[in-house]
Amino acid sequence: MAKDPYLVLARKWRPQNFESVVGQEHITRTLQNAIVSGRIGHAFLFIGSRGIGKTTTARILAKALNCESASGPTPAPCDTCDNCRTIAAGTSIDVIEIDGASNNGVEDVRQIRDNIRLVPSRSRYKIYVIDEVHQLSSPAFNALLKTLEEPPEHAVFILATTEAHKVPATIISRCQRYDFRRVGMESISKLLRNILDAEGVTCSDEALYAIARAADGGIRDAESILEQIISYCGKQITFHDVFDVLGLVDWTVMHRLCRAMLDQDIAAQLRIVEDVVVAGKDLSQFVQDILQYFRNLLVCKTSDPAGLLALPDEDIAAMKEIAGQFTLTTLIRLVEQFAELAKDFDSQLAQRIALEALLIRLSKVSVEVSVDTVLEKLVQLGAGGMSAVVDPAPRTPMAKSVGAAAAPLQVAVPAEDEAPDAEPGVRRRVRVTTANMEGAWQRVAELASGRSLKLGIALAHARPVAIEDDTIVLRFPEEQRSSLSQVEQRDNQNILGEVLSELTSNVTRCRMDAQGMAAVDAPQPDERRAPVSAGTVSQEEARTALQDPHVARVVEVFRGRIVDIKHGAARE
Amino acid sequence: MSFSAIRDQETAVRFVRQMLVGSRIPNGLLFFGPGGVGKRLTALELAKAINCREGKGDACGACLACRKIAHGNHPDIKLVEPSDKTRLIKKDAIDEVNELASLRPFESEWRIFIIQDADRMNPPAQNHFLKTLEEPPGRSLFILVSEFPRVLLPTIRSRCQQVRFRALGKGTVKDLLQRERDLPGDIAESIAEIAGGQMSRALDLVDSEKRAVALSLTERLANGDDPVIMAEEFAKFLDEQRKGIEAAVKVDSADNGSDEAGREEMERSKAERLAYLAALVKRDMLEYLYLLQTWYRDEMVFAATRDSAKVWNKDHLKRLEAAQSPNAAAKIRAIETARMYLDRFINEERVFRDLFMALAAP
Repeated sequence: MAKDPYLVLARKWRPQNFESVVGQEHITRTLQNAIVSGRIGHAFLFIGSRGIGKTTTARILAKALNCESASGPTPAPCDTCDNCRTIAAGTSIDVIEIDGASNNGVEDVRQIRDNIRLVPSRSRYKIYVIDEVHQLSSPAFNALLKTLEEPPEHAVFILATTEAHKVPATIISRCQRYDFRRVGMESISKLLRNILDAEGVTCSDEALYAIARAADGGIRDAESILEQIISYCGKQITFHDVFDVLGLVDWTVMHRLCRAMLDQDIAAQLRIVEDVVVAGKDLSQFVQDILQYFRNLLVCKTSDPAGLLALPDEDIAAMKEIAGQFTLTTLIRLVEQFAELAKDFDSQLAQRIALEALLIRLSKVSVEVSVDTVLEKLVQLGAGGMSAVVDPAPRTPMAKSVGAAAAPLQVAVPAEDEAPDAEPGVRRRVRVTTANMEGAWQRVAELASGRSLKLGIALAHARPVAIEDDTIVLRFPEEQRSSLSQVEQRDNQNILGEVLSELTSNVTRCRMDAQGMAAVDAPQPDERRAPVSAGTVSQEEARTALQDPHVARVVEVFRGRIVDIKHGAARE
Repeated sequence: MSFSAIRDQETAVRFVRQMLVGSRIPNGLLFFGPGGVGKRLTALELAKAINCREGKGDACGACLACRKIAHGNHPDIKLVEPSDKTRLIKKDAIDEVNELASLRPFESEWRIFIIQDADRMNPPAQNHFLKTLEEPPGRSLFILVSEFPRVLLPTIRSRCQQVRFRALGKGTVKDLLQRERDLPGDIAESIAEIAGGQMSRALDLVDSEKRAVALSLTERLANGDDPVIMAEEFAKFLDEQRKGIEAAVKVDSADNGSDEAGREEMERSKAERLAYLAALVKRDMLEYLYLLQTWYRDEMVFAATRDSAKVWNKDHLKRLEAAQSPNAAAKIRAIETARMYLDRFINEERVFRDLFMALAAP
């Protein structure tokens, strides 16, 4: 566009040959090799997210096919011949660029079908580039099918889209499919550096990193942001300018927020929120940043962060230090909580209030374990798997090992840091003994009911009475004859075997007690402890249990009420 | 008027001016930020500055081009807004934009499109817009104005330079409030806090009864009034407001002409206006919820910090000091849940009943 003296960077720097397409080597190399070996497909489908080179590659491919400098298609178009220039300018008569969004009807496709038979007027190929192809209506797609499968020899289709799932399978299977990748921080930074050098603008590495990070894998996004920042600050870009334009919050603010959270200093946390608002930053961006920040801490805590965090080394060192002050559980919980908040933060009535409420809640409610974790713990307790109910030295909510003074209850949070295998979600195989078999059996029944509901119900009626080597001995109450026969079916025996080996380390089989049926649910003479299900407790014990702060806490958390007090399954 | 009239948007205004000075005018700009902070104003000023015959890098406000733009009748400036009862910007409107963009401007160098509430473009419209937005045939500038930029397709966003507009400072809102309406300091300050830096919202809070209504609701709930009855009353109250608005529209359209085409036209515009007003009523409803939330937010914050400086409803400090609020956070969540239900068109009265019952809890 000669009449326009100014082109935005993204257009000015649109690559003109395969080599300068950034981050898509797997595609450009394939295309070049295809051209060299003369195996050129007649339909290409370019898929990938916004601004990473689909349209650009389509145009380069068109040039490569039609370049006049060589006698046939060439992997390195000359950029000087008529064809190359007209294609770059979008005025070539043999390269028809169609906006799929605006020409999405059957009529438009019919037009393509009619015109495609005419030979190209001045080039080797007649090339149809259909951008945003996902916008075609489904009749339009169908009208395209025949032509797409067997076009005339001189025709090539290049389809490009951001939304592959909207393209019918019948179209996809007729095309060579190329998936464009999001571009890594490294490549983006390098590209931006090149542009900056060419434009004669200086920029610190930190600032460049921040831009590349904000671009989130999109080249055009990176170029747009850079453009904007060049407009904003002229020939010299500083970190500060970038943060200003992007509305990002300085990482020192995050550090301060962390400190305040560790100290449970609500006033300080509210002040930080206030500061962020006063500085005119966008709160939803801020919440995203917090989430990202804690995610980074989590990465620092659990693995070697070098390759996973795109940050300068000194920042990583600082983050590692901060990460050390949180427990793993806390970090996981913080990430969960902020992710939850971020989920529909934009539709919140009042973002600021939602954020403040979360911060206050995190500071006040000391340990708020996710329901999953609690359930997992309860089950493990039932199975006698875990011995830790309460940490002997409770921690204050976030700081790792501060005095136990006012710390409220920790609901069965074992020291995860020290025992990584007790991670929630990972099922532990339990060694079953007579002591914990009741709980273990419940667990078996539960898991089995996931695979066969009938079996699960039947198993729930059974009572384990003994463990003999690798066999668990069961007894059914008199009225549950049908359950017994249910369990004895071959299929169900198989399921039961699987479940047992998944959950237990020592039991692989079960067998019915010699009596088969128990007359009544009579207590077993060989049991040393009080029977579990019908266990009675003394007045004294009941009173202690009721006064137990842990119990009170559980009741409060679940808003429950106490119906009955029984002995739990086997705890040493 | 010129850029200097735009308050508190230093970053945005500096960017726009630098862009003009360096004549690096892109094709797409996305002005985003909270409502009522000057996005549209800036877009118009930018349009003037680009076309102004006098000033360099700013608008003179006096030349013919500037005056035409100020009066909304410059042929090269096109304002696109949500229309009809869906309050959407549809494909047709964008097709029109695409076509206009391919024409040479009539009297100035640039054709400028201001797309107000750009997030109201539906997906087909956005898709139709992509090509033109990225590589318009002539000299066109598209200024997309949006409160909720995240709703836009990423493909649209990545084609624009995104200019962030911030919420106005508390001080600015308070200043403007005191200048435009005669308000005592503490009330102006409370409203400035509550309005979250949105001037239009602050003015509405001053001019309407909303805040008084919301505060009296919290007071009655605290005094142990029956939440079920209150919910009924509140639903009725909203209903009456709605009826009032509808009645006003009917009266307006009663005196139309008798010819057929005219009447059809009237019918359509009436439907549009009704829908628009329904949207207003909905917005009001959410505003009430928000005001309730600010109250419980204050209870929560005050209980946690005992610091009156952190409170928003400063003009009701006494009540806050007396308030017993162990469950303020839960109430805030209950209000948020109610918002979600209302967004999903669940029966209002039921939503309010649930809400008030949750709020009436100690």
